[in-house]
Amino acid sequence: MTTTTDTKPAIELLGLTKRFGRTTAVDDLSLRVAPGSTFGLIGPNGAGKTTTIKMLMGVLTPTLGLARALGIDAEVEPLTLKQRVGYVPEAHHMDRWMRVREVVAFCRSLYVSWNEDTCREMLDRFELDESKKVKQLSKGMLVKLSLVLAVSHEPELLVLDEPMAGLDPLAREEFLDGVLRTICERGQTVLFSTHSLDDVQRLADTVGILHGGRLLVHRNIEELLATTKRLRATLTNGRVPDRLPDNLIWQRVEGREWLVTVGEFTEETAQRLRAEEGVGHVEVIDLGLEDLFKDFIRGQRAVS
Amino acid sequence: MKWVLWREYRLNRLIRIVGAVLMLLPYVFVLIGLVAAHWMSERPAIGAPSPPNPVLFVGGAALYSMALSLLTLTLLAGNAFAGERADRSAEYLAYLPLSRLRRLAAKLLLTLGTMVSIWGFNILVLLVLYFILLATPSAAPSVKPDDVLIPLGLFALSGLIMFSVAWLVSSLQSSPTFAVAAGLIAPWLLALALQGAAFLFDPEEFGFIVVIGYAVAALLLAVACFSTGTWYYLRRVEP
Repeated sequence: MTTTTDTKPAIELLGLTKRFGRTTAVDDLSLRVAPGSTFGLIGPNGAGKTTTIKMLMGVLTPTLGLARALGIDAEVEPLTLKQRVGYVPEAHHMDRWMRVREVVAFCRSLYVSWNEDTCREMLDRFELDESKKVKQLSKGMLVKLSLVLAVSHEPELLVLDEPMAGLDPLAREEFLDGVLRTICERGQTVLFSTHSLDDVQRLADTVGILHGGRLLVHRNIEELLATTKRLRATLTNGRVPDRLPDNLIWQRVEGREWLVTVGEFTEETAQRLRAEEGVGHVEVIDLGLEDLFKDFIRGQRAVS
Repeated sequence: MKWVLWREYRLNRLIRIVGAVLMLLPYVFVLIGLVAAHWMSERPAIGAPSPPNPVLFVGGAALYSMALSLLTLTLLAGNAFAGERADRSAEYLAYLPLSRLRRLAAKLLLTLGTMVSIWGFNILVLLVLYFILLATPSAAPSVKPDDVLIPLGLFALSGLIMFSVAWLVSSLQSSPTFAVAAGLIAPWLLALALQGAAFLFDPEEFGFIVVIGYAVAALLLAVACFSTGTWYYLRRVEP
């Protein structure tokens, strides 16, 4: 379930739990993200993505467990952590009365390291008018400004919390292009949470699926897609076999058709299914990330 | 720190403008009054009394100006933390490497600077008037030092209560309106409570209990509320 590396992880969550009264937003979450990798955290609304990121960034105290970024516990050294991490939020609450150049100057004054060339280059590339006030910027421009501010101090870790929500396709493309350039040029570790599975497939090396505050899966995307398959079987007697396939993620029966999504798929899995009594034709279907995500979530909902 | 201070200064621009208006408003009224009195005194047909002593009028304006500055002080304190939570800029700041201590220091410096400006100006006016009265004893009405010092003391004590209560309430929640209202009401509630206590325990010493009680309670309340508010703001993790 968890990708392990010998190197010191860029992000390390150990038994991270957050409860708000009786509601558990994040439940015993453990995760390690290797340095230099791009990790996509996906999950439905209310899955606990933002809460996890807030705990990682030290703006929310965990009920239990530990969150470390770059080996720093945000509860112990929040300022050291924030010096080394760039963050782009979903909603942008920077002072609306400030001009773009004032926001940039304000942020520049707070960081020990600030690469003015990077900042200038990105402002130019995004065509951000520095004389404009923040309140005059469109959502797309705001996201771009956030990215400029998040990467200009050359952070070792870039955290993007659903930054592309509500962006038009063009703004989205320009933003992603900016993120991709950052990743390619600097080799930073990137954590981004999103609803867009296309973006995950485009950017991420590894993906984590979060549901109900629990991490359902954390793997390399290519491996995950290669080993997770949907099987379409015909049930000759209309009944599901007693012995279900191993690593079952989700299943559905419609008449005589049985759809089963399984993890760690091998040819043997299909053969074993064909050998079951009452199972006729078995077809193996490749899944895209979107179908895979849906099956993981539907499987969990069925269980709960 | 320069930019943090600048942000705080700019963030509270409206309150500072209100503060400046409140500071000058009594002087404007006095000026209008003196011009009107002068105009009437030149027209005996109206039957107006002789023009008042401008020194007294301007002195009164200075005291009113200082009394009104308590509203500015309460607005600054009430808006200090709750304002940032209300417009959610606190969330933005939470992700920046900016310590709470620096933010708090900037807020205190701004408040202190504003109050020193307003009170400094008015005290300067009072001092000038005092020297004018000294220089022209014949024109000096019977003004005793207590006529000025007692109101000043009362304003200072009330200001401490208003500031510290608004500061505390602002640090606890996200409504600046509620924090400002709490600050404005606090001195009145304290005065009422002390009057009640004086009536209940020793009506003969009513004045003494209220005056001394107000001074002691104001200082204790100010220290308690300011310390609690500061402590809570500094230790709170959430924006």
